[in-house]
Amino acid sequence: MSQFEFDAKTNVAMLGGQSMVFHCHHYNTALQRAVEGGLGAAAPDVLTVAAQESARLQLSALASKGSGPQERLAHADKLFAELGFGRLDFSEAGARGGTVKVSNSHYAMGWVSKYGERDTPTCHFVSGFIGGALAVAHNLAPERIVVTETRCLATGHPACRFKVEVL
Amino acid sequence: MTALGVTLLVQRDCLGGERVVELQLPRPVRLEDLDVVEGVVHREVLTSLPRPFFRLDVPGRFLLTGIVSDPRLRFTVRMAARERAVELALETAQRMVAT
Amino acid sequence: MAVNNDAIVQAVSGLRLVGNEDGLIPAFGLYLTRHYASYYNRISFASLHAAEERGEMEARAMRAGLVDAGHQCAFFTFGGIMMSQEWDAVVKPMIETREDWVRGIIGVVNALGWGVWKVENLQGGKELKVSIGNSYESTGYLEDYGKRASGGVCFLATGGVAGIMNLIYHGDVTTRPALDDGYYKRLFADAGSFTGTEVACRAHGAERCEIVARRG
Repeated sequence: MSQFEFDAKTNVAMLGGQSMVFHCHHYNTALQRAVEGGLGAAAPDVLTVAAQESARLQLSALASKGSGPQERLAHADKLFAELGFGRLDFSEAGARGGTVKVSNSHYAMGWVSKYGERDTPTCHFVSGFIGGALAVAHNLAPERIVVTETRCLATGHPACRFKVEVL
Repeated sequence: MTALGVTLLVQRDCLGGERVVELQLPRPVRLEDLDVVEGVVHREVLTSLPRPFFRLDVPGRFLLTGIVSDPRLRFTVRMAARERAVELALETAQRMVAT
Repeated sequence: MAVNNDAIVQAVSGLRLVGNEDGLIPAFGLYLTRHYASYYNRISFASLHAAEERGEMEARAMRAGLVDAGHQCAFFTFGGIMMSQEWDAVVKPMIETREDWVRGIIGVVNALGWGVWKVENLQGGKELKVSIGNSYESTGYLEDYGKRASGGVCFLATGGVAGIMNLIYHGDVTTRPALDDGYYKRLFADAGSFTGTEVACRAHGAERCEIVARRG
């Protein structure tokens, strides 16, 4: 289990150089809805890039020295689950791209639970996390990784799938 | 109410299909009742609290939470076991009562 | 027994709130995430700045949307917490008055990683003033953009403080109501609902952020 450092003087919890805060799916989806409403077509990029940067910095700080891609991706799945976002399956993704499957996506299940199904995929945070994890695992510049959610629980699919392209 | 006096209070769906089942035992939970819950991987009993809160995690089945000295139990049943949610909760509660 | 903030923080931060094998964190009758403060900040402030570039009306609507997300957080998360077994075990034994409900939930907030929340003034049913040290929103703003020329940035906290008052004094969470859409509307859209205002913010140069909730 990841070791969070909670400072009782500042009430700030840190993990891998990132300040971590508790929130539930009501806030997560309501905030995403406000951002999507405000930014329109620009929202997916903003949401994805923000997630990618946070996850990449943290996973990089937590990565064991000398660890290989598989070990790093396994750690990314473990962390993603510990943080309450669902489960990641990187078995069909490598340094040249591929597909990532996600089960129990917090964002997709949360959205459906709160607002019902939607027309477009909702897991922009997850896309970013996947991009950050692959960047750390394969030592790739984050800008080279493009993650697109091709199936989403929130659009009526049984599970979420992401296409990964490495430019 | 079941034969051993366990009462079903609430059952409802949660995020993504997990199921919450709340039961009331015919008597307050005792510390030793927690020992009969099978398959517990993580056991947390905060005995330092004024009312000792407990969380018992049984992977693949449920998270059981409650307070020692309070008769109410909450089972958050995993998606994989949701079809048997009430049955699992009642079985476990009855085992606790029978101790 | 007075509400002991430190004891609440110690008890709640000591709970093993970590995802299970499905990657979910059920707690307080909710599903939680341990999320990146930097993520929330970047998406919120990108939206705010884009709206500000489009004009004051858009900016006002964006701020309202971000605060409303805070209302929903308060309603469902704080409401769920105040009706949870964890609350019954940790906080309820310390509660003697309705004002203790406010101090109790502030104690729980202090274990969420959101900074140091402190009740500065509480006039039951009328006003709540909370100061926040190290609010993650102001911290994030200062890190990414530096000091702001005008206005606060603690939108989640603004909605959260109003939500506490609405749950405890406008509605009555002590009676364990169903936290449904109808109750939400009654609590946050009535003429007598509490609304929050950030009267000081670290992002605007203050030492601590300060939120006041009063009836609108």
